Amino acid sequence: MNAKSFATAALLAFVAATIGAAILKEFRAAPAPPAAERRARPAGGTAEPLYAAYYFHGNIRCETCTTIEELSSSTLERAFAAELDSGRLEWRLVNYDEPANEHFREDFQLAFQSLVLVEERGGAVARWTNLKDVWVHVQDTPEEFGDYVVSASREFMGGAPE
Amino acid sequence: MNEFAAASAAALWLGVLTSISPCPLATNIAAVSYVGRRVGSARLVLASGLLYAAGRTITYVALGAALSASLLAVPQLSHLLQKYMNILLGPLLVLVGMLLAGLLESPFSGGGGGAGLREKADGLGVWGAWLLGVVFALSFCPTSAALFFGSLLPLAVGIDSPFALPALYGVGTRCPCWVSRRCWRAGRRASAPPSSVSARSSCGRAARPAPSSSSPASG
Repeated sequence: MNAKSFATAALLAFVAATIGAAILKEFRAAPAPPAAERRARPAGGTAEPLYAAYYFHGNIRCETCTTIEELSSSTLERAFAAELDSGRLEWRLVNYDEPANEHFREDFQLAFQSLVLVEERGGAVARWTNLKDVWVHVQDTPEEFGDYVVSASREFMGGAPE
Repeated sequence: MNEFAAASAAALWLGVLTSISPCPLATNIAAVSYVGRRVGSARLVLASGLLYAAGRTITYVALGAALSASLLAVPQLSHLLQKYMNILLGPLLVLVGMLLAGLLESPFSGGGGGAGLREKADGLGVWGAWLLGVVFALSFCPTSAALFFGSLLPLAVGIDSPFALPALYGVGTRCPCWVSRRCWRAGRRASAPPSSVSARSSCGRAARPAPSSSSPASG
């Protein structure tokens, strides 16, 4: 067997093994996952709106995805420090590829990794919005990205104080 | 009309943004290699390039039209495409690489035959570029999924243009390929005989000498 034949056979075996592994992984029973990374807010009967900024990601973390996550988190920490300290606003990081979190795809109609602002009243979701333009603004400067996140968050939170 | 023109420009720009994000950029580089493999025949390279672009564009138009008509649920379809197409893409790209390296025969080429049969096989082989365009378009990664499902589709639905805007998006995703192919061809012209020394193209990349596959003797 010459080098060319050996390389061809090895690569074809690699391709077959890759496809086989993918099929096996798909049909393997998924273990029951632990609770999500999400910190559960205690269910309470308060009329005061509470807000959560979710960043939903999958198992695949691309560079742009982690950039959006980091910029969103740092922007909210800078612009909404008082709300975060008081608990009026929470930052939540959720992997929607974990079986326990798959329901979020339905809940918030997630087609891609997203920054979602949620208003909760009495422990239930009252309304939400997907800041989908983060994917466009991530191409801009971090300041322009931050301006978009801050203005969209303020609008959603009804003009929260600075 | 102004609204449509602005939306068209936005769709084209979203396509360009998609193509320069990391994972689609990698597939576009693979596409340039595939499309340019018959570099000795301008006709075949042009046909391959157009078919690749058509494959991508038709796929985006079909997806856009089906999703705009609410025939398919956006989150579910997006999840399925991101999960399974990227699993398929790895083995497929290994096979394409083997084809380009001459480790595999094109499925369209026969074992023997003369120059006429070889030319016919090459002609059929350009359809591989169309298939590659379809597969690459369906292989959504986080960035392309966000731009297509999150930005383009709402735009297309908003101005009731389920065909034109996805088509322009598809053209946009192909733009960097056109630019890089022009750079490659400019590089080849710069390195044309009598000197076989590599020259630099206007794009700053070292020009490649014509591959041996363009030579009739090499088959």
